[in-house]
Amino acid sequence: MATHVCRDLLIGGSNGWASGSTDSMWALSVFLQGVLGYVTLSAAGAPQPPGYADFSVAYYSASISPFSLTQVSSSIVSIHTPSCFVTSSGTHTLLQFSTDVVNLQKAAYPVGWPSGSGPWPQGDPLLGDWIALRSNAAPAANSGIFAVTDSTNYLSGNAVAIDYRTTSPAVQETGALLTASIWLPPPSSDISTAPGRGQSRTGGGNWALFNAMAGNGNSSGYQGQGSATVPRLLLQSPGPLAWQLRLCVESTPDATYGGAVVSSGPRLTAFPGFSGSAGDYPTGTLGMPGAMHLHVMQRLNVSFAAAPDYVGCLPALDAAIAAVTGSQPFNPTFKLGYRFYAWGDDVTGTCLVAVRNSVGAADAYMAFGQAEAEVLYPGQCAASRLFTVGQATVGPGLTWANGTFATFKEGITGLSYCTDARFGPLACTVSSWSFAADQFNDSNSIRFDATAADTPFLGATEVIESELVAGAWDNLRTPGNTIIFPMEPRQMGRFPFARFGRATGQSAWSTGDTLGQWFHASNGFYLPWGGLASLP
Amino acid sequence: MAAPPLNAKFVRSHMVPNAQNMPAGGMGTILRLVYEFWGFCLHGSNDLRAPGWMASSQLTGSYISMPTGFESGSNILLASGSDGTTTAGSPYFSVTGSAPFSASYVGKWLTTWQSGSTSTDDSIYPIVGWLNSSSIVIDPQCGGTPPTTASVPQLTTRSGINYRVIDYYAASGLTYAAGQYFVIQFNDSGQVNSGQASSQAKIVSYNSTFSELRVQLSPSGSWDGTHFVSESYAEIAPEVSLGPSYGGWGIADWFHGVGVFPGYVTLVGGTGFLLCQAGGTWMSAGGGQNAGSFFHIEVPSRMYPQASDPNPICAINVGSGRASIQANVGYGATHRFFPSPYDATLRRWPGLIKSITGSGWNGSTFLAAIQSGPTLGNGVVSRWSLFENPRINKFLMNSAVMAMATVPGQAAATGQFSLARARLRSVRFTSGTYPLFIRVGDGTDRWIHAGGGTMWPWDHALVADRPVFMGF
Repeated sequence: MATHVCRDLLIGGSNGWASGSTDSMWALSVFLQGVLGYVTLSAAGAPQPPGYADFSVAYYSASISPFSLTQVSSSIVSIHTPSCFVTSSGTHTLLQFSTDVVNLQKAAYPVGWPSGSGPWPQGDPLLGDWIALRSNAAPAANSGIFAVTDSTNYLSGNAVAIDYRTTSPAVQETGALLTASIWLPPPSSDISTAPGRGQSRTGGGNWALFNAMAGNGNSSGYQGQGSATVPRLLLQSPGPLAWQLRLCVESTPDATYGGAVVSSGPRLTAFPGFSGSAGDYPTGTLGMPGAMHLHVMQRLNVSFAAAPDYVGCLPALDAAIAAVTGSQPFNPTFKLGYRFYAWGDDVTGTCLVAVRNSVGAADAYMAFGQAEAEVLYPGQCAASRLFTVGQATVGPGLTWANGTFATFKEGITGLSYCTDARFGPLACTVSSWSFAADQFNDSNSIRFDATAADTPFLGATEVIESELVAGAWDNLRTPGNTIIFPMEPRQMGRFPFARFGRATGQSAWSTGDTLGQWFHASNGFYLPWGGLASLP
Repeated sequence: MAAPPLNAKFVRSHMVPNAQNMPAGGMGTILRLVYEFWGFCLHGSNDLRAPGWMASSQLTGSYISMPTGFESGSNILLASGSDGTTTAGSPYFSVTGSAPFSASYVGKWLTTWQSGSTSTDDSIYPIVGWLNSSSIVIDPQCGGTPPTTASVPQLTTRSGINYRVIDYYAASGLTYAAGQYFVIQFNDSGQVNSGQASSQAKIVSYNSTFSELRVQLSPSGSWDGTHFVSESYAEIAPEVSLGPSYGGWGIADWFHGVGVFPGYVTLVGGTGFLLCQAGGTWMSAGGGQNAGSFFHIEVPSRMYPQASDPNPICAINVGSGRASIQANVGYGATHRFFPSPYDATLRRWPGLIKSITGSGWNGSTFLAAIQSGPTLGNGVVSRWSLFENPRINKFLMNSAVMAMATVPGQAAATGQFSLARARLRSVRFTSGTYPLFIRVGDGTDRWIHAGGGTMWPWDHALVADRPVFMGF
């Protein structure tokens, strides 16, 4: 297993025009497909969520007199084909493609383009495109999503320059080709000023159509399914357990009932499960087998309005303002930009994704998949090995405080599934370290201790693992509220990727040790890092 | 390396019917029990007089400084042999080649062990009846082995059992002086942590009434017969005010005047650990106020590289404070005193556990109103089925790791921060609101709720006719 890291991808570009949830969904789907090896199964809603087929890049042939362009190819890089090296030129990091899988000369110069007429007249042909890289040799440094910054000046080497998102020298890989795939960025993050740059958006990848996002109108049930136009994408994970993942930008009625979830509540959810189709999971019946997925609202087909005790059951990823704009077209009126990070396991497909405030947003994280070093139990159903953890409300940021929707700064919740297939989802907690006594709240955590520093035992910052525990909360709305989940605590295994460490003395969003092996997001929440300098 | 099995043995609620020269005689009784259990039941060889696993590195002097006769005085060690036999289910202890037993031994105690054995039959039993000079009747519940189909401990079928007959009342009558001790040695430290030296612990009693038990640790095992060489970690005095509402009389004592008999002592020991709990009204003047005292010494599982922490050993020592994990001062019974190799200082290291509610204990779902302060110890039983998951038949418990941070009542340990130095092996923690004596676990992973949220190694045994963990 390798942990692949997507490092600091800019969302919203320099203009700060991100659309929020939908852009997060776009980037996450690129990471899952292009890096971790997920496969798109189905999609629903309008706009269509991103699948690989929507991001093909076209070659054109040109006729000069009269001038016309004809598309001659719909793809230049296969998603599964090793295709490039990582090299550098001066301070620039380059991706040097194998000419048998991508020929940048052809992309820059349409067939028939007169020799000596200069490169593609409308500018940099791949500028702003996202290239998803999967590196087996340096997965924490060279995997991820990188934006092309220059595809005209390195044509002779069949290379493009990328935004490597570090001041460190590139970790060069020239011995074995890396798997690469080229994707159009979401329009709001597109830094290219040349709409006719020789590529075309196919399928439904026009994310300007946010006004179309709506629930199915059934106010007593879960609205983000069936005829709903909210974007959904159903993916197949790469691992042997063969679970599916449903990404969805939840509808306004589902996410914002009665102010119980604040109107700017998070929207992008990622629920693992089984037996999905057409972008949705099936509805189930309590006490009956089937419908093995973690999406409580969809499994019970209930709304927060009809069943308010279920508030908190849509753990999601988003920054506060991102959610406000998540159902609207990107618009200069709503300045929003943030930075996207992801960590993924290429064996199971387990993933942790984080967003970092840049322009008017807030920090957040979401994780889903399977625990590391799983603790297994005889006879448990497959869905009970799955989890999703995210924000039930806005504001918690990246931290170790778990809890319910309603408790300040404890708004990170999670879901797993009962070991008995008949009894559906139940709560899931990231079990992290507390003093057994006298720790009244998160602020008393050892992470914030005044003496917290490098430990003399290691001469370095110490980080330790946490654990996923299923069935340790009986509701996710308010402590002490109505019991809706069975209390049947079960250790699931290690919480993936993240480690628990000191917050005292550590800057947020920076490497937390001298070797750069761990990245301190905030509040003592550490994530694997590839030894490269982090950007402020 | 994986933590080795605990291989726990027990003296379950040894009843002390009386003692002389209280409170010194009471402390003498406890120390004599610890000596016998450690040196013979746990680590005895086939030598019937020399205890096993006492400090052996001495250049001069001894591992022990106790009154004359403490070890093998003729009025204390009444008989011994190696030809003992027992039969499964029977309370009789017989010898095959001798006739050592006298009718006067009724009311005395029998120590049994086989060298290298892990049987919980190796224990200290009250002699409750005399049959003839070759056979006596003992109460198997102090040790014994619960059958697979029942919970009351019974003797198993064994032969060639080493035994000693001990008179603890006589031991209580010795003239004890402040500062007398013996030094035990954990020869199995290397089974817990690769390359670890045989760490040592000095069990000592102080003050004019010989009522204050202390523990002094030597990570490197450097006892030279008179003192620890090149390391001098402070002695661990009994803590007081450990919990918010249980016991503690403001001074560091196990005994606080002369109370009312009987007293009760429970001992549990195994691979790299030893704990002793004593309670009952005999420990306090007027027979009240006692909340049980205990010490617990352990070689915990090292979590740093060997070179960074070569010889971890830690201990807790509580005087009439109950094993409550709640705390006014010092993180309750989950903390341990732990010598640091980096500044040669003994400090109280608080215990961190994996909180099922994330980083903090939530103020509503998991707390009971009967005690104050959010803590694991306050679990709301009405919302929790004993932390049990009936579908998988498992009970959720926490093992603690030792951390170093700011501790109330202790100077800030600047430069000594640690998140996870070592994991305690011979204790688990759960909600303190659960009833006493709940037994959980299966296989070799078995525990009993000693009270206050502290769970100690156990084997599912039930003790029928006397209190266990008296005072807790």
